Parts: sequence; structure tokens; C-alpha cells
Amino acid sequence: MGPPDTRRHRFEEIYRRHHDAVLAYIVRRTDNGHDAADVLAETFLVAWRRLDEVPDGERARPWLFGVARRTLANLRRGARRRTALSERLRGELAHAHRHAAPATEPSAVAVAFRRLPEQDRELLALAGWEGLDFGEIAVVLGCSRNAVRIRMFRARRRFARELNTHEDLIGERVVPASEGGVA
Amino acid sequence: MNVERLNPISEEEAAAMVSRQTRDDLAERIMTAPPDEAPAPVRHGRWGRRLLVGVPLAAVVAAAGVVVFSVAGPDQKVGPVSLGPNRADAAALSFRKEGGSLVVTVKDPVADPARYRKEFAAHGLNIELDLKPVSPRNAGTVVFLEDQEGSRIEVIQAEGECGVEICNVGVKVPVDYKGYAHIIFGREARPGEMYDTGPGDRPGEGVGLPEIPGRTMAEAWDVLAERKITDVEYRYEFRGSDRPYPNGLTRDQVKPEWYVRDALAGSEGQVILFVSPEKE
Repeated sequence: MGPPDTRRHRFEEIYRRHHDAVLAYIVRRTDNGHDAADVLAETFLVAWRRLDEVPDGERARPWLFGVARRTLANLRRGARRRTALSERLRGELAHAHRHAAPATEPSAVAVAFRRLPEQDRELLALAGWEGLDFGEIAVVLGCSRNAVRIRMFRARRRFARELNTHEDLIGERVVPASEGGVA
Repeated sequence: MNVERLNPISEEEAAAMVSRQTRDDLAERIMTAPPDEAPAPVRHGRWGRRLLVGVPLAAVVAAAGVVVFSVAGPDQKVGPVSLGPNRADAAALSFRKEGGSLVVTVKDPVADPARYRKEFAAHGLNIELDLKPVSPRNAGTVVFLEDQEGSRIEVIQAEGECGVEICNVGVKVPVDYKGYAHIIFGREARPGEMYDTGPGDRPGEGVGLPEIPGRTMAEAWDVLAERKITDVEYRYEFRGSDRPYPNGLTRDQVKPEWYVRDALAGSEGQVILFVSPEKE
């Protein structure tokens, strides 16, 4: 652990660089601003406390997603951690969340996606929404890159299968997923 | 593939939700926290060791009518495999032709999967086979199947007949099978070995503690001792909160009369127990 100023500097750098991506990750996976605020505060608090463990540069991002993911999991099993840190944030996000994402008629793609097992949705979202590659997803999920590759292959296949069962609805044929990098 | 379209919010939209001032305020508040306070949460992901069991398994169950059991025929060598020092050199699989198919049975249930792979490859097959430790209920069954050519592979299950020495599971593959397939069977676990679990398992089954609700710590410790599992992490739960132990408990802090709420297989052979002074 370096002297206090170096620490502060490093944290500010990480925070500045990854705040928006981490916030987006969390907002996509919570349904109210209070939860999002708590998880965001907790995630960066962990980063501050474990600063020496945070990887450098862009590699910090999947690491932070991994922390956010575990914090979300704790939240879902009721182990909520309310910190006084996020009071102001809670207010702003609660307001913004209400105005975001107006409910639209679910498309066939959305229906197919929702029918997938949660693990599949998580993988596909990490690739499609956060734009992570297999190595980065492995960091988020805490598993091997190879495990991600295998699971992704299956997730895409199941997704394609779900979509094809609705192809008359969406009027397009979905090509079965091939194994490979994230498109 | 289309998932992008479902993204509920872009990074820019999310960023716009929070004012500059609030953002700086949060960073400042965080940096007032003592950096060296007990390290924060959860080190082990819930899914660390989970296998994905999904649609393919249903296909297997549907095909159960054509399952072939590996009953020894007159020319078939079945039985205890020699367990001497040459075990690593002996074949891990046995291959037998039957009509237009190859019947492949497992000879060494704890062999390195790379050896199965190699032996399949020697027969021109691109098949991955794994045997994973599972709870006794699932030993000898298929826990995962992916068959690229659509149900052309028949699995040979052997419920209750798949230990670490002898295991009667196998597959029946058409000789002209060219696709890739991945099959995972469950086998009995060795002492100290964690169970691989998947959806459909009962809570706690992953660590050999099914029917968790209502189990006391004393009971849980007995089960873990029997299975020689020593690496246990304790997390506290009390009325929806982890206070006053947000960073978990040591074994000494856990009382034998407390209850286990949930038990998960963590990564690297570790068990995570959620414990509470209250039953429900």
C-alpha cells in the first residue's frame, strides 16, 4: 500500500475511468434507484479498500463488474448493506430510474431472451451490453476462460433455438450460433 | 446476436442520471473510509462450480427408452480394472463395435478427461467426456449433454453404479458420427471432493446437505467431517442483515445450536455456509 496521496490518486483514476460503465452495469440489473445507488457505493468502497488488488488499466473494469455482481447477489438474498455514503446518489438515481426505459411491447427477441435460464442471459448480456470478451467475462464470473467459451456457445445455441421457435413471429431466420469470439 | 437491442440503457444514459457533484461527493465519502478495514465482501461466486444443465438433459430423458445398459456380453471385458501403478497407462475407455455403432464404456472413472478425449480421437470421434463428482442421488446419471448432430448419441446411464473405481456409464455412438459432443456424467465423490451441482439440485445438495432448512450447525459439521471437508467459510444472516458480521464469521464464533440457511460450493473446494441463530 503506497502513501495516502498515491492511493487517493490511483482510486480517483479508477473511479473517473470506470464510474459510468459500472453504473450502467448496475442500473441494467436493478429495478430501482435505491438499490443501484447502494450497489454502486459498495462496489467502489470495495475497490478503495482493496485497491492493491484492483488490476491496472482496462482490466479494472471486469474486476469491478465482478464486485458489483457479487454485491447484487448479496442484495438479492437480502444481505443488504446500506451505507450512508450513497444518500445523495440514491435520491438522484431514484428519480432518474423512474423516467428511464419506458415499457414497450416485448419483441420476439425479448421474449426469447427472457425464456433463457438466468445463467445464459447473464453471459449474453455481459457480451452484448457490456461488450466484454471471454477473458473479461471469466474475470467477472470468477471462472476459467474456457468455461466461458463453452457456456457462451451453449447460451447462444439455446438463444437461437428459442428465437427460431418464434421465427414466424419475427419473420427472420436466426443462424445458429457458432463458437468463437464475441462478435 | 440481437441481445444488444435489448440493452435497457446505454452507458451515456446511465452517466446522465448522476450529476457531477454527486459523483464527486461519493468518491470523497468513499475515500474517508479507512482503507485497511477488514476486507469487504464475498470472495467466491455462487456459480463457481456449477454445471449448466438445461434443454439437452430433457432430450436425454426423452431418449431413455433406447438407453443401452452395459451388461457384459460373452466377448466383452467388463469388471474391476486393475488399479496398480500402471493405471495411467491403461486405457481409460473401452470401445466395442455393435452394428453401426461404437459402444464406449468408461474403464477409469477418475481419469484425466484429456485421456478420454484422446481415446475418442483415436477412433475418429470428436467427443469430450467428463465424470464429475456429484451427490449420491445423481451418481451414474448424465448431468450434461451436448450433441451437435441432434440426439444421435445414446447415453448409457448407470444409476447407483458409478463410483471412483468402477463406473458402468458409457455412450453409444454411430460410427459415422462426425460432430462434436460433450457429455458429463456424475460419479460418486471422493472424500474431501466437492460436488458439482446444477439447477434441479435441492438447496445444500451441492455440499451433501440436502433439506438444509432446519439443520443445525452441529449436524452440518458432522456431515462435513464425514466428507473430510475442512475449508468452510461462514456467512452470517439475521433478519435480512449480515450485521454485525458483514465480513463473515470464524468457526469459533459459530454456535453449534445455530441453523444452516444455505450451503454452497465455493471455488477451489470450499464450502460456504450461511448461518443464523434463527431457524427461518
